Amino acid sequence: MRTYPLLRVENVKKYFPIGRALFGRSKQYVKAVDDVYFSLDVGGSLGIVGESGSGKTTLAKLVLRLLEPTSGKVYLDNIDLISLSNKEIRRLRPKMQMIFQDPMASLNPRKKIRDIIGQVFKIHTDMSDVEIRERVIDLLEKVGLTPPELFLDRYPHELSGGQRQRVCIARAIALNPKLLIADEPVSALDVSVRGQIVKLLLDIFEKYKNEIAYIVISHDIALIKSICKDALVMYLGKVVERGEVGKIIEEPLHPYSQMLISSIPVPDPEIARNRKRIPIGGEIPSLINPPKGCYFHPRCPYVMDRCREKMPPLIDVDNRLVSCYLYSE
Amino acid sequence: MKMNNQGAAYTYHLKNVGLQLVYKTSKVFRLNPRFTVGFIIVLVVIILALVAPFITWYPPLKTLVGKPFTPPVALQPFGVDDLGRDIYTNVLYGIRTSLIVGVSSVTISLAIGILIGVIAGYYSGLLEDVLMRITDMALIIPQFLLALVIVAIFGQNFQNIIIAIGIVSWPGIARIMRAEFLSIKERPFVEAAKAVGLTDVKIIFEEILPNAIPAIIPYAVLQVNTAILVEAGLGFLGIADPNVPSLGLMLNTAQQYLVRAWFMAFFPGLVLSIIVIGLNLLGDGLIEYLNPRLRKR
Amino acid sequence: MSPLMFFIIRRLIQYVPMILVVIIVTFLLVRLAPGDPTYILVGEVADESFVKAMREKLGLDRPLYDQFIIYISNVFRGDLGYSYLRSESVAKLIVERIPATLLLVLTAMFISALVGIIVGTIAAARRGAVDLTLSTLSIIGISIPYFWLGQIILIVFAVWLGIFPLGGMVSVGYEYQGLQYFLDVLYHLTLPAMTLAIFNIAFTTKITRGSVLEALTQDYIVTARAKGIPESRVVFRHALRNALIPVVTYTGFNTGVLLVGAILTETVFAWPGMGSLLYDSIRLRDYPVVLGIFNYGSIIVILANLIVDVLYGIIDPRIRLR
Repeated sequence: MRTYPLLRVENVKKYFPIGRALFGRSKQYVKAVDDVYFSLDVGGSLGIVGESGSGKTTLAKLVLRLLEPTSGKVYLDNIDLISLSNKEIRRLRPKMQMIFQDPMASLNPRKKIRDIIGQVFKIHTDMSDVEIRERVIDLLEKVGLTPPELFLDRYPHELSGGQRQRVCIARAIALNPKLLIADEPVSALDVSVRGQIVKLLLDIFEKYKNEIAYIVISHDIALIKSICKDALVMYLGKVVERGEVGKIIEEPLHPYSQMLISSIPVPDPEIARNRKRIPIGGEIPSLINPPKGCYFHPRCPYVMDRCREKMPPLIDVDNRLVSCYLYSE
Repeated sequence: MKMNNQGAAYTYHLKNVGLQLVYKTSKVFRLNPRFTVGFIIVLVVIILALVAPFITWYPPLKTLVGKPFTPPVALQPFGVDDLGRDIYTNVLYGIRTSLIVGVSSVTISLAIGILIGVIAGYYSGLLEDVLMRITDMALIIPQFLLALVIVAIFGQNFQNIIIAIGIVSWPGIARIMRAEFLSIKERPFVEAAKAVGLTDVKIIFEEILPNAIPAIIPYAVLQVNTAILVEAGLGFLGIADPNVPSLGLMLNTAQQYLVRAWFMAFFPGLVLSIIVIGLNLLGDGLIEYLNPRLRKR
Repeated sequence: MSPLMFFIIRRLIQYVPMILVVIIVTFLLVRLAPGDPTYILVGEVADESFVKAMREKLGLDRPLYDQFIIYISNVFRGDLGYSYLRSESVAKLIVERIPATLLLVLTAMFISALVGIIVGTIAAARRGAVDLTLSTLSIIGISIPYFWLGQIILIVFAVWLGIFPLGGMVSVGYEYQGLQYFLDVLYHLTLPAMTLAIFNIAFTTKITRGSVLEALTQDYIVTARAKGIPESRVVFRHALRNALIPVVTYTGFNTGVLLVGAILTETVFAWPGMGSLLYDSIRLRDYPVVLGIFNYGSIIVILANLIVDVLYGIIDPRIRLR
């Protein structure tokens, strides 16, 4: 039995230097991800919510080590991913996969579907071409692309958006990953197709419940609610709230979460009229010069003096973590 | 029963694909008049070069097949030059020379240029910087003069000319390759390939390169053009292999007898111009074809 | 230090190494060649004592490093070697010829810029049949090898029609002075300049057309039209001004090509510039001169590029700030 969590992210930071000073050192950084930590168990499902620019995608890439963190550690199955060599990381790759945002752009337009998926097997196993073909067909069926033979020799531009995303999903689960990250899995798709893909994802997660942990990234908190159990709310590269999704939606603690939740359209007009409306004020400040103290204070309706001075730490409130001085007593 | 239906459906799909391919290809010609004209011209030129031995009746470079300085006549439709050689024959064989030089030298520059462009494009950092500086510098040095000096020093033979032209032409290709690589490198499917676990080398060759090649093709065509012009220019100045029929060299000889024998200059140059025009149209047409298509995708 | 100065200095730093590269390349090439580099540097000369003297002077007996130092110091002193065949220093021979070449190149550039811009603008302004014809003509114009074109022009206008002289820069046998001299040169300049210009006209037309077309789609043009300004003014005053920038850049950086073109054109018309010097030297196997022309020619091209680059920075302030 495992005594440690499947995924542990500790104090990860990613700063991008900007500008090209003549002699190397830049004075300014884009703090894309600033001191994030969380952990995930097998069977766990975490949603990462935030507006664009909040650092969610960067975080995902850091977890998979597609980007090198400026500092911090990532442990998958207790293995320190950062310290591995390129070769070792490559061998681990099938265990941690990602489904990207734009299904069209994440498939090589010049490769047939069979090669795109088959590639995974070619690299990491010694399977023969015949065996690979069978596995690919098997995967295509699993993601709902039937009859699979018809799709083998097609090119990405010959498929619809939904079909392409299914291919991406097939590619990701090909070698039974332990960690699956889905970055805005349905944003690029037509609204009518989204439901199908969400259902597909849910089926897959249900089926592999005992082997896999997954992270879903989205700006759409309603989507996260339907797929994930826990959620992380990010703002300008920092985690501002963490806890169970349902609870966050019902009773958002952090002022930013409150803003996000109140913007979700609610079908019942009674409730919609009566609920507390917190208009989203201001714009996201620049990532280069974030505000001093709590990043959110310029837009916060409850701002206090403290907030302008120092960034509030993550405080435990009822099994939830919030980074806000409102709860520090 | 089910199997049969599937089989029939698949075959129908195939037939459709075949027809679709024909339709799509003919569309290229219909929508792009310049490309079509260029293509036809180049095709005709290539055919002429191939059948040269069959449509000429004198061996090339053979002297005194007719009285020197004879203007165009039935047996010598382009006239006879100062040494009694049949101009028509030599022009046709000259086409061969031009084409061979063009294609061979471009192959050399493609080999060098793609290699350097790929490395500079994929690996950022000091290496890329150095390579790019070298490439930019190499671009400004007048290529024609450099080729001239190389051939003059190393000997005026056919191989040297091809090698020299190939060597001076690589910077342009390297630059385009690098630009393509830089832009393709950022596309998500490359990242996805990394996520799947491909090695760098495989990513370069299997993912990025096939997508970068279409950008190079029109440039390569235009480069063939430049190579042919450089060879002709060198020949015009007298730098050529005397044992190989060359349109440029013919113009060189013609220069001395412009007053007496206009046909010595007219025909070789005319044919040369046609080749160049054809290649230009072809290359330009390709560039235009590839651009909107990329946008449509 | 103003950003302009900073920019100029930056550019200088970029270009100086290129000149060095040219020099180094020449040096290496000569030594890499098969056979005794002496004959290349000295020329195929029969006089043994002369050869021996040159060997010593250039240090060809000494190790490579020494040779290189000697070579560099020579180049910077302006000594490119000595042409035995013509009993003159190479540098002097070349420098004598530069003014003639410059005259040809600048005239051609001027004509082609003028004509090209006007024609290109017209082509852009009136789409349709006019545009198509002009486009096709310009493609043909770019493609035709100018040396051949020169020959044909020479044949037609000088041999058959007899309007223009057969070549050279001045009429032989006459000793014109002042205005007559000027006109005589002009008379001889016409054909070669036209030949050289045609290629550039086609090129400039193509660029101008594209550039003006793009400028015409901009919003400020629509505004101008809405104000009721007559179409010709819209095109020439408003669109052209902004469209000129890329045209100037391209033309400027094309100087290198023009120079090479000049070399070839001079040969056809026996115009006494660097080009015909090159042609004669190749024929006579006077290698020191050939190498010298390569060196000087490349340096001139690099300098031309540098000047254009700096001018571009002056005209377009955005570039300075990068």
